Amino acid sequence: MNDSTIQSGISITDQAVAAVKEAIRAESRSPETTFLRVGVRAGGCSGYSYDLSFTDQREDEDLVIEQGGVRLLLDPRSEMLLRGTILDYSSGLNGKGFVFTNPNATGTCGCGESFSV
Amino acid sequence: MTVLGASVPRRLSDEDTERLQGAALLPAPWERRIVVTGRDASRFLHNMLTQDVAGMPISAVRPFAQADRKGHPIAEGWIWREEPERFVLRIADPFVGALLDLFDRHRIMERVEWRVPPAGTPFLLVGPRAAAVLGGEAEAGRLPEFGEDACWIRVREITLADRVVFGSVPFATVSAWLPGALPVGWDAFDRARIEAGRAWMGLDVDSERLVPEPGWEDRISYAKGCYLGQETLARLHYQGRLNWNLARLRGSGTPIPPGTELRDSDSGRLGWVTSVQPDGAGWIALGFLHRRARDDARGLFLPDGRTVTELPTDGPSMRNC
Repeated sequence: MNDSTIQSGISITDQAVAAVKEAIRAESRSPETTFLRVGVRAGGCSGYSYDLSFTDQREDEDLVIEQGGVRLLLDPRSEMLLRGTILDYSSGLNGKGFVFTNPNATGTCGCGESFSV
Repeated sequence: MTVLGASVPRRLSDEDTERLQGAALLPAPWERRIVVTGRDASRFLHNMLTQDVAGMPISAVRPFAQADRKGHPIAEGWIWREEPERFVLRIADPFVGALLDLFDRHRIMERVEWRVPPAGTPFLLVGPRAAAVLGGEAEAGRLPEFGEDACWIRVREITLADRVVFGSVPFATVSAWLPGALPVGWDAFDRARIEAGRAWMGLDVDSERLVPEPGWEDRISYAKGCYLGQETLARLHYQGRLNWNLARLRGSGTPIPPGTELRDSDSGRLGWVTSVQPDGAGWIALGFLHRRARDDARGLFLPDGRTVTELPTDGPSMRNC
């Protein structure tokens, strides 16, 4: 994990930064115009699930977080549920991919994909 | 009398029961619709409801339930996918608030909106000839002549041909608009509903139950992935047996009040009655029975000692209409 300052409640580890940059390259996206949208959606067994997507569009109410050369977008309601979250990346044969450590979550489903608050 | 918080006549003619053999009109002031739209409407509803919403064809109608995290029903009804990202949910008035509150708490990054159009004068069109009177093979349709958002949706209350109609049409004039459909009161409809084994939330089902227990398996998709309550419902499904099951019941003598306990020969509790209607010399009812009632076969009794018979599940029912 890097020691970058947590800005507005969500931080991203060095491993996650590297994974995002690799994904941008693999999808032939422009690093200059691509944002990683991090959000929370309804659903999943426990009520909420994490959502990651690439976008070139920033909405007026989005919060922008720049870390390690990666720019994250958070909508205000997602930011409230993700405040204090660390986004990590677990690679390798037994890796889980992107992993959210969310201090707001009071419970998760069996597979860990969904959380409750 | 009052049904789901709304006043409805018990009886409208001496031929109420016979009218249900054709196409019958029941005033249904408890009926509400929720219109859900927005770029993420499909995905949002797919992630919230127990039904496979994303897999619904355009114009299709399906039954649904909204469960909480533990698989208990918050609401149930029917959903019409009118357009790719426009849905009409049919649900009873007492459950609108809880459903929309749950939606609001779970709408985070999605672009989705909902509204509840004015109630108007909704009614049910039921009976084996209902489809011939309105809609034919279609599953839903708009009725612009009866106001904004006026529409009808295929439902299943006593037959597979039933419809719920939303709009501002004075009930006294509906028969003129739908030739061949005749008004009926609540009692005859309710008797047919009980015969068909159709449990209603608010009458037979509360939030203590689990979604599959009232026979609502058709509201649940076990293949669509995660949704609120999915873990519990999947576990119940693959475990293969429910502790409580909806049952159709028949007894003799004076009808019993809803809530009456059902017991075995040793006065052990086996279940309870939820809806009751007089039927001939006795009564028919819906209720919930513990699986022990079927496993042990020690008889089924009322607290006063009268016997109760559980009707077979392949008896007269909407499945045979």
